Amino acid sequence: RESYIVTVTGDRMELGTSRLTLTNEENNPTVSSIEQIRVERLVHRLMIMSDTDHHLTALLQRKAHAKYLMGGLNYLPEYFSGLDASKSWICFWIIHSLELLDEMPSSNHINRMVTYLSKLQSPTGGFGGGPQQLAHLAPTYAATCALMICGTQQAYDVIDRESMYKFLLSRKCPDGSFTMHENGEVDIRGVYCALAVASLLNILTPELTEGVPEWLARCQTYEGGFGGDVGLEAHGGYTYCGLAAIVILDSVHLIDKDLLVYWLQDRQMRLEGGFQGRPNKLVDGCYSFWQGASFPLVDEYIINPEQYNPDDDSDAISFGENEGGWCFNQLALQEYLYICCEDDHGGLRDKPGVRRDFYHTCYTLSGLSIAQHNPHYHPESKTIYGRAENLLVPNDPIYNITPRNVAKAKAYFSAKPKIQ
Amino acid sequence: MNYLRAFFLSKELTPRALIVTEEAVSFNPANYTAWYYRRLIRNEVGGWDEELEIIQDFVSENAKNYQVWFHYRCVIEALNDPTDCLNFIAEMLEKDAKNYHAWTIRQWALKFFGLWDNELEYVDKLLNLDVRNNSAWNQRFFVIESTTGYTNEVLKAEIIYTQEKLKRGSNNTSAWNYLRGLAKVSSYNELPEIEEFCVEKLESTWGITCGQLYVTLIDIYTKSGDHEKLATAIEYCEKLQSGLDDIHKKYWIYRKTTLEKLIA
Repeated sequence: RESYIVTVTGDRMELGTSRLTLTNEENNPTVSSIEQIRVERLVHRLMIMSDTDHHLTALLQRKAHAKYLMGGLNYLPEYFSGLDASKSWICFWIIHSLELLDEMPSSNHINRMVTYLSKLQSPTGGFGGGPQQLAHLAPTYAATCALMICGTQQAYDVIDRESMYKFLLSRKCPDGSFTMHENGEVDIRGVYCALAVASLLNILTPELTEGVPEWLARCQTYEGGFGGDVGLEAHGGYTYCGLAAIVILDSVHLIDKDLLVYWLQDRQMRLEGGFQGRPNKLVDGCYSFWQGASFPLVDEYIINPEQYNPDDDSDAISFGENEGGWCFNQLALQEYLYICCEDDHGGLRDKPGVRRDFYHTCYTLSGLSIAQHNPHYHPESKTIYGRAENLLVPNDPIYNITPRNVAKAKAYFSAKPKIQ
Repeated sequence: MNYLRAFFLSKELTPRALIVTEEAVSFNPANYTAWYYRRLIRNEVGGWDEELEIIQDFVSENAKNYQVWFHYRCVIEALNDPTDCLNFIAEMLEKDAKNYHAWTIRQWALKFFGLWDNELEYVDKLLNLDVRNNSAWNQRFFVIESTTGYTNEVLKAEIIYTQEKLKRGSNNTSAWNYLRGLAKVSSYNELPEIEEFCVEKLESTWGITCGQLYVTLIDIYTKSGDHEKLATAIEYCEKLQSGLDDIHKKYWIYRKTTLEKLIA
């Protein structure tokens, strides 16, 4: 690590990189800059308090995280009432985190989860957030992916493919967008959820996808990212949904590719190392996945597409030794997660000062896995901050479940009959 | 919750069903099934005025919740009366000027009711309060695109507007994204004042401290196709990767590599 001196006014000293200087407000403090500097001070203090060899010694608290997650599987206290309509999400956040940590629960637990998830399925297709709740695209994605992670035949067979297809189709609007539930809001998350599920279950049809790529492309803004609907501000979560959906539909050629890549990498924070969701907003651990997972996708479709063509011999762009193959600072992201996001009692958080929760645990770990694993053609297969045993199981950027479970699921469902 | 399930399954659309849903959403404002059911009941028994008061309270208390905002929109739509809508949303934006749901419903209301008249003025007010408010910049783009469109006259005026805002703080990604966004609607060739502005600013302290200045010049020069400018763009990539924007070093290496291929 370089040595550094930080001054409060943001003057850069020659000793090192500009990373550890606070943002310069240029005599114009506003809510945005005040908030940003507040977080920078917190993060900065934690960084300088850490050991100088932290990048070699940092240890992911696997056991603590697993314990926290297992606690969630067994018991959800009253104050989680706000998640009463998100039970499938809780299942997904927990089981996906456990699969990344390579701490899958016993088959007993898995079977119980499968049974529980089956109660969330609507008789008219799709899944709701709780038993007898209206089917909704987000819990449908969550339940489906949780079942794919459970990975048993019983889990796969929970899903009624025919009614699922009807449900997905019923969400589709003439303009190519999807509503989240009957009489519900349109947003780009819905498209992603529908297509991810359809693609896993082998029910992706022209009828379902017609007009969708064109609508998705309209969600890209002048900034380069995607908004939740046409005209809305470019945002990390929606950009991920838009890009992943566009990749599923093999329609990357419809968007402004260069501008997307610029916007994406610009979201990595100079000092914190983690990602923000939009310009002039704060870092948040969950964007480690929402922003981070887009990088393997842009690598394949925009930056180094030839590397994914087995007949192509050309060289990939080289970013330097130990830097990893994605177009963002993989070590700085990981550093942010270890120094700022790990809770001593297990679980991970948004940023210092905010409480841990299963959602942030899931998405920080999901982003961590992406940052640790490199493209298949890269000379260094891993870029690990801290100890070698921090390495998580690889993570598929399209589905946010492990590639092994994606492959297993696709193999199972591709053998099922096509939907008419 | 069990009551709600029983009522929902029975499809009863009565005032007493309404009470059950109210309990459900008070327990969990994210209960989209309960909100959906409420809408069905209201369609049957009426009382949308009352619903407006109720939902406004929920939105105030749960500003980061999708369901209450969408329900608010449905109420306004059912009443077909946007009278206080923009004011209410503005109140919510006063508490959190970047609330994504607030902006979502605001854009919907503007389009649905055609309430464009004062919106640019409102955006301007927000930018005066916080020039770094990226949502306000996005709204600016949305309003202009939906009303006058980016005519030549409008583009020229917007360039001046953005440059003025940049003088309040050169280190403002939102303003630079907007400036480059103007060129995207048109082109740097049609808007030479952007390049002139940037080249002029190179001579000032911005040339030492402002990474976005170089980002913009790289964008201009990349699109110019001029070999000399491409070479300068490569120099600027090196400048960014080695100090001014080193967290994004790998990206500038990528850009540089791409530019070098163009010159080769």
